[in-house]
Parts: sequence; C-alpha cells; structure tokens
Amino acid sequence: MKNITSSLALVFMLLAPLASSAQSPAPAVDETLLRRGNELYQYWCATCHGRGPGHPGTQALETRYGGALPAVLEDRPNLTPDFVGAFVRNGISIMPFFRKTEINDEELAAIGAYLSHTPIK
Amino acid sequence: MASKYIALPKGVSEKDFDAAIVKFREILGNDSVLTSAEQLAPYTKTMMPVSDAEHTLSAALLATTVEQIQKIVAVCNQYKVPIWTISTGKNLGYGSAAPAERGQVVLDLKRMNRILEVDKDLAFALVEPGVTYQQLYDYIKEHKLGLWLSMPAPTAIAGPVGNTLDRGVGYTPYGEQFLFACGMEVVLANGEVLRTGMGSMPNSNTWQVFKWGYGPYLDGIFTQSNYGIVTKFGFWLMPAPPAFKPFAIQYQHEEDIVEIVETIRPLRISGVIPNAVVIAHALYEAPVTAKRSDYVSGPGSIPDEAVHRIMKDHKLGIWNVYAALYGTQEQIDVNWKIVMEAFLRSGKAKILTEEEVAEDAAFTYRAKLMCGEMTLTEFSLYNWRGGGGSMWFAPVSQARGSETLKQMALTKQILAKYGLDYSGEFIVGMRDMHHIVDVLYDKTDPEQVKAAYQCFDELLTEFSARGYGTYRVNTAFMDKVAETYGPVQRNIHKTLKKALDPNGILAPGKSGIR
Repeated sequence: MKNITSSLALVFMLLAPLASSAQSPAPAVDETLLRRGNELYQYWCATCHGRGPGHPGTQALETRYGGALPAVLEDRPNLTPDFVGAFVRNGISIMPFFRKTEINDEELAAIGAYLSHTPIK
Repeated sequence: MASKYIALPKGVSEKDFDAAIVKFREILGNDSVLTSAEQLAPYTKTMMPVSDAEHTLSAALLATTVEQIQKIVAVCNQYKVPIWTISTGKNLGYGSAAPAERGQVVLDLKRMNRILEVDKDLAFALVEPGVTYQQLYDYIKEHKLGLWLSMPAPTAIAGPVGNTLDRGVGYTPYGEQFLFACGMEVVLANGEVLRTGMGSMPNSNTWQVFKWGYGPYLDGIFTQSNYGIVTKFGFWLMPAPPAFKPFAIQYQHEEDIVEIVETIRPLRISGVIPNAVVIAHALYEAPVTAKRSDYVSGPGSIPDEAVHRIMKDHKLGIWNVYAALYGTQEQIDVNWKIVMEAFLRSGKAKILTEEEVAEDAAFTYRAKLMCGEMTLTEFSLYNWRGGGGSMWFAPVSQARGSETLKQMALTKQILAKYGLDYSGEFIVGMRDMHHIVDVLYDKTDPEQVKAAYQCFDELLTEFSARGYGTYRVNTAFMDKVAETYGPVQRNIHKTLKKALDPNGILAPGKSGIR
C-alpha cells in the first residue's frame, strides 16, 4: 500500500523478461475465453489503448518505451494475465485503477488471457 | 498491536468497527465487504498532491439494492461509522474513488447499474448510480432510440448520476447537466426513501417530466452534498437533430479572448449557438498530438515562445473555439451565416469547418463530445507532465471578455510562479463561463507535489479575494472552498446536515459539510 507505483514498476521489471523468455509449452487455447477477452478489451480498454492518434494510453506507452516495445497493448508480445491484472486493479502513473465492481475477476482473467495470447490478435 | 484494518474511521474503536463489519457481512455477504489492503488498493489511488494515506479507506461495501443500503445506514448509525458513497468512482482529478477523510468506509454502488427506463417519446432516462455513459450509449444505440447524451470528457467510464450530482458539465445543448435532471430517489440517513418532485406521489407518471413537484424544490440539496444517498436518477436526453455542424475557430493572441467572448455571448444567449461552447487554450489541446519534452526541458513553466512553436507545428490557435449548430439543414444554413458574419467581422478569426479539419485528432474528439459520442482523448492532458498528478481548478467567470482575460492572466501568473503550465479552457454556459484549468504535475516528483499543492492553495486564495468562486473542487481542498462562500451559507449547510444526518454518517467533509 505504501508505494503502489514502485511495486508495479518492480512487477514490470520482473515479469517482462520472464514472460518474453518463457520456454514452457503453450497451453491449450480457450477460444471462447479469448473472444470474451477481446470484447471486454474493446469495451473497457480500447478507448485509451487503441491504435492511432487520440488514445492517451497508447501515447503514454509510446513515451515510456520509446519504441523498445510496441505502444499498442494488442501488439505486445510479453504480457501475462498477472501483469495485466496488476495494472488494471492498481493503475499506474496517469492510468486509473479499475475495481472489481467495474471489471470482475473473471472478466479481468479474460482480458489478461486475450492480451497474453498473440496469435488471434 | 497492529490493526487488522488498513485504516479505521475517526473516533471508532476497532472493537466497534469489528462489530459493524460483521453486520455489513450479514447484509451483503462476505465477498461484498472488502477490508484487505489488496482488495482496497483500487480505491486509494488519487491524483491529488497529498499522501494517499490521508484518503485511505477502512473498508468497501459493494451494495446492489436500496434495501441493502437502508440496512447499511442503520448499522452506520449504530456504530457511528462514516460512509463515502461512489457510483462509477471515476471522479479523476477531483478525488477519484477515495474518501474525503482517512478511515471512511466506501459505499461502492457501481454494481447498481440498471437502466430502469428510457422513454423515446418524452426523451428521458431513469438509471441507477453504477450506469456508465458507455452503457447508456450502447443501450440507446441498440434500441434505436435516437437520443443523445451530454457528458463530460471522460465519457466511457464515468456515469450520469455521479457526474451530474457533482454538477459536472458537458458539451451539447444539454451541457449544463443539472438543468436537465428530473427526479431522484434518495436513501436518507434515517433509512427512509425519498422520491423527489412528482415521485413522492403514489401512482404518479410525471416523475421524470416535471421537475418541481409541490413545495420547496429538494433535488438541489442532494448535489455536491452529503444529505442522502441517491439510488435512482432521472434526466432528460436530447433528441438527435436531423443535422449537426461542428466547427472550430482559431485566434492567435491571448488577448483575443476578449473578442471571442464578446462575440459568442450574444450568439449563445439568443440560442443561435445552442451548445456549451469551449474556448480552449493551445496547451489544453496540444497534448493530443504534442509532447512537452519535444519543446522544453528542465524545471519551470513552458515559455510563450515554445507555445508558439507548438501552435505552428500542430496547427493550433492560442485559443481554439469549438462550437456546433444543431437542427434541420435549413436552420443550420441560416445560423451558419449569422456565425460567419459575427466572427469574420474583425479579421482575426480563422474559421475551420468539419470538412477542413476532419482528420485533426483534437477536432475529432471535440466534435464527438458535442454530439454525445464516446471518447477518452482528453486524458491526453495527463501525458503532458506524466506522473499522474492532476487537479481541476474550476473558478466561475461572467461571460464577459474583460473578466475572462483577467482570470486567464491571473491563473497563468500564479501557475508560472510554481513552474506549472496554463492548461486551461472556458466552457460557455448560458451567461457564465466555467474556467477549467488542469493543474498538471508529476506526482512522483516530491518538489512538484509540494509546488502543486501550494499553487492550488494560492489560486483559491487569490481568486476568492477577487470575488471569483470555485464551482467544484477535489477532496483535499473542500473545506478551503467552503470557507470562501462565507459563514452564513456554511451554517445553513451545517444546520441541514444536523437535521437530516444527526450522527454525521454520510460522507462527512463533502463540500466542507460535517
């Protein structure tokens, strides 16, 4: 609670390399979950994190990564459900939090699954 | 011994709070009473320049029915536990979802999200507090109702109940949103349920069409207040017009605000331009496409020379007027001629039609706001400094050019003293202007946090000394603003509070009322 921003930064540093270098076999794809995740992403996230000008979340990530990682979340190769969940629940910097009364745990898991699963994006 | 709670309400023992929590769980179930640090984290992040610890809640209650709320207030009265009610909890820049005071319990009504009625013919809606603008927008589209919403810039994730109760403004002809509110259901501190206006009469079907009822009009006392918990809210919607013509007008000099306001006022009062027009400074619009770091580095506010480079690079005026015409094409053609003649008279204005700036990202989001379309583009402002610090400074001005120039100059001067930029706009009301300035700072930089706090405090002090009142403020400065309106109003607010909520359980501190 003392310093969420620092905690999230730590989560980011720890998770990003692990996620991108994971070697374990890909789990079975739950297409229904991914479709649901896509719908929820478009509803809750895309107004800020969509492609093109006028999307403040994408703009913030462009500045943060300076091209080292894609600014559009759907293009990111290294996201995991836990990573997505931490930012959605707590927010970071300019990004607001989202409570479970807005996006419940099941919906958050679907969004996390969608953003972590590159092929169908 | 360390408490099992991350905070406790002021004056409430842990033993009593334990007992209250047990009763809350009996009412709501275990899963809907949150007390752990992890569960409560999303309620604690604010954008204000104070420690989040000052606004840390003790628990969150996730209610879904009026009956549950009635039982919750009974428990609160028994144990003197204060509750801070939120709807969508997205009052960003004004306090977000966090309570006014450390230890208050947040009553989260986001799950009360039923759209109870939308009447196509009479053009009204009745909704619960958790309904978002996006949800209502989708409902109207799905049912092909042909009605438009008026909403603030954070459209998709905020909602009409919370925004209107805090007297937020939008950008359509229904932009002064509380003017279009019609009927509320309110749970009072004693557990009684009041329906305001015509809603008090059994079998009435005019609750959402006639605002005044009989006797003193009560709806106003449930806005920006803590006299009850609004559980249903009625408001009018604008029928989609046959034609809509958004346009922009640019001016190149800050002093031109005088001409702009003097030109717009008669057009607005007479209804030629019917919507809540925006006069946005270049630094309010620039963040949509520009990065501050491309123009300036180091401490201090951005120099005028850099602002002029931004204007050139991003095709902005120093003032950017966004307005629209509504009606049939014939009505629009007539009014467009009047608008053109008025603005072109001095030779200073550059008028841009939708056809000329359709691809411009700033124009696009402004046009969306003026016709009730969802967008979050204005949040680009938060990228200007980064770091998640924002407070809305919101003084009211007469719609008179000389006054707006004075307010702009004073604001800019005080912001510059603290190294902050003037990201301001004027939203034109019927005869007033909401002067809205986003005081942006980096919340991860302790020096900027300190400067932002002192700056905001000085803005309030200096403006009130000149008779300029603030219409809305974040939860860290509510007492200060309440003080500026004088002791008589404050005493009346307190008298009402004592009468309606003798134990002070409902949102103590809201608008400085306890």
